[in-house]
Amino acid sequence: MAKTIIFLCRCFGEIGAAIDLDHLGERVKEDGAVVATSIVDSLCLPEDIKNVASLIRESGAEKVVIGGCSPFGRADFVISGLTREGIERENIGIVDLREACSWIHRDDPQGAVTKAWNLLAMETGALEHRKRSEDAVIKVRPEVMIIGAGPAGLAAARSLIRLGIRVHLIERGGSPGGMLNLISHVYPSGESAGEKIAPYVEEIEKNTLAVFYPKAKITSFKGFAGDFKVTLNANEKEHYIRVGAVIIASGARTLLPYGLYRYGNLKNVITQMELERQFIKGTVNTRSAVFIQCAGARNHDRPYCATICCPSSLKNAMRVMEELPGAKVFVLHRDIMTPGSVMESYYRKTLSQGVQFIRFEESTPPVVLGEDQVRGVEVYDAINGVTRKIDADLVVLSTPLVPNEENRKLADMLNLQLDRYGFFSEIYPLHPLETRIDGVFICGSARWPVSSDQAIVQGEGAAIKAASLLAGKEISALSLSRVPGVKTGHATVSKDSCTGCGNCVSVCTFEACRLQKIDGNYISRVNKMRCKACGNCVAVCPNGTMQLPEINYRATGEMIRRAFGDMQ
Amino acid sequence: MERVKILGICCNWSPFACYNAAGMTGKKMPSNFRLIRVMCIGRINQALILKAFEFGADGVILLECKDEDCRYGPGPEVGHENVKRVRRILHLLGIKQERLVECTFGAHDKEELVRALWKFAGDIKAMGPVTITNGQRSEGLRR
Repeated sequence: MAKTIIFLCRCFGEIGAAIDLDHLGERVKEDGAVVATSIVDSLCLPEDIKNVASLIRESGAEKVVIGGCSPFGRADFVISGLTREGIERENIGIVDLREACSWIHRDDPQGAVTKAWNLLAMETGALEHRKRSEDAVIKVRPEVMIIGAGPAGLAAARSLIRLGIRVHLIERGGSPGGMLNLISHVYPSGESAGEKIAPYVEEIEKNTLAVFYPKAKITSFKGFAGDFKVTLNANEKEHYIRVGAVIIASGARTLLPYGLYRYGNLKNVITQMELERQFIKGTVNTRSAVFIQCAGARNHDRPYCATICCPSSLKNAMRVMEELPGAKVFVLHRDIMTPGSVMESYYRKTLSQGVQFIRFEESTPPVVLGEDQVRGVEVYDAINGVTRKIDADLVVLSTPLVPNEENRKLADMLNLQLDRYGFFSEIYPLHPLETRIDGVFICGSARWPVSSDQAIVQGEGAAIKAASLLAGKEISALSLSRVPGVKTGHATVSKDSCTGCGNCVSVCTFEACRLQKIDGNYISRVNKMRCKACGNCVAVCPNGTMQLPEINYRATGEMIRRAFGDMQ
Repeated sequence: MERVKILGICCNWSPFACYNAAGMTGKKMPSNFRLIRVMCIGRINQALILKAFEFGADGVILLECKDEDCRYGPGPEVGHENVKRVRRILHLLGIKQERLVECTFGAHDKEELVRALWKFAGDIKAMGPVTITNGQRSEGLRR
């Protein structure tokens, strides 16, 4: 057994209050491996680390177990401090005695001491078997590919070129701007969409660091964080680029609500997007317009609120009243969603300008009247309990943003997850704007419907995340697993005992495992940069060749064996 | 009275975030509960679950992410499959199948996690310790 020293932190009384640490210190010494125990008041000050390190050296212990706060607490600080003092990471074990013991068992001091003792014994046993993954270091390509040149993509591109990072901006259409090309004005600033996007486009076009690929399509995508290899087809020309990070800003599309409120059958039943087009062309003509909210949203198929339809509806309602004096506007809604102080004041402004709001229930939707063209709308007013008939010559449907149809293909190519509606999933809630693949970030409406303002904010956020990944010249594989308190490394496989069955390849969703033919036999190889250390391959390996060195089978088994000690 | 022993195996993400958050807010939890943290519940195979029973656990609870939340992909599905299969083995061994359960949590479901732990602790307490020591005694068949 390796010599182990155990430190128990009182956490200024937080742990000491519920657990009798002196008694516990005596009890853990019964373990043959434990050569010394030490009770300290705190571990989160720089001098504490020095003190601990000198005690470790004095005792001659090889392994250190620290009973303190949870891995989400100060574990990272303690570990990095001790590694600076020359103690190897795999020899340090962190045991959570505060959140997982002291604070939750205040009413059971006896049970708390037993539990603390068991937890320390588990970690001591596990340390015996804990090993360390070999690291891999790769050179970073300080370039970023941005998919989609809408507001989010343009904002990301501008932030990156300002940081001096080369940007490849890929656009499915012919020109930058995305959905802002289709609308006339943006809320809440009221500036025209062209004005909003122009400074971004101008700066990007002037800067030689940015390359714009119109009419582009990704044909293949390989590699890992720091070095993705992408081939794309832009304007019928093949390009091969290598980038360190990828930002997805591919946006969303608006729903065409065929079949709803007689859309497609009746003239003058249009969507908000068509109204925007009429604003651009200057062909809006109405005496009385009815806006119907939640057309195709917040229902059984699409139970989400797309967040942008209410504000854009308010914007267009005011616009109609400004451009056509005397025109009436009715907004039929299920709830007006205007979160935030800015949008709420926008709503109040709309109210004061005379736009009429009528609430209806999902079960009694409005009915559009008229044979050859719109004559009116009949709606059951849910607040007053009466059916109202509104004369109208224009019905505008507020439809939600829905995911792009290409999302599935893009997600498959980049190995990403989509949520249940088809938007790109981020790692909620711990790592916003990040996806399950390191080095691939998402922003804007590709992630979730957002307004152009928020898309810009998210684009800039994703750009900073990408830039910080590429900041160093090199990336090490171990630095990619950002788990508090545990650096779990990556799966390792022994060349000698791997039989090449391929189970690991079939379960790995990160395409980190692959079979390679060496001397006529297939053996599994793990790409350290892609591996996320989930251990799914470990579970299916028939002969235990595949292992996670930090939490290997023996360490976990030892923890299970020691979990209950002599608990009575 | 002999206390029952409960082992939890927990995924590092949503359930551990819940457990940690519950700990930070000082929610009371059963003190006969021990937790083993792994990166993903998909890393746990049937042998490890059975090992827990071998080493004296009276109940094993797998704490998993929700199916769609798994950041690795197949984790919770592997967990469901493992529970189904190990339960069959437990039946053969004469251990009540209800001694192995799985629960899924979102990242913010700390109340649910604490409730699930208390419920499981209560269930196991009602069942008592695993009584089999060798093949002759069987709680499942006596039932």
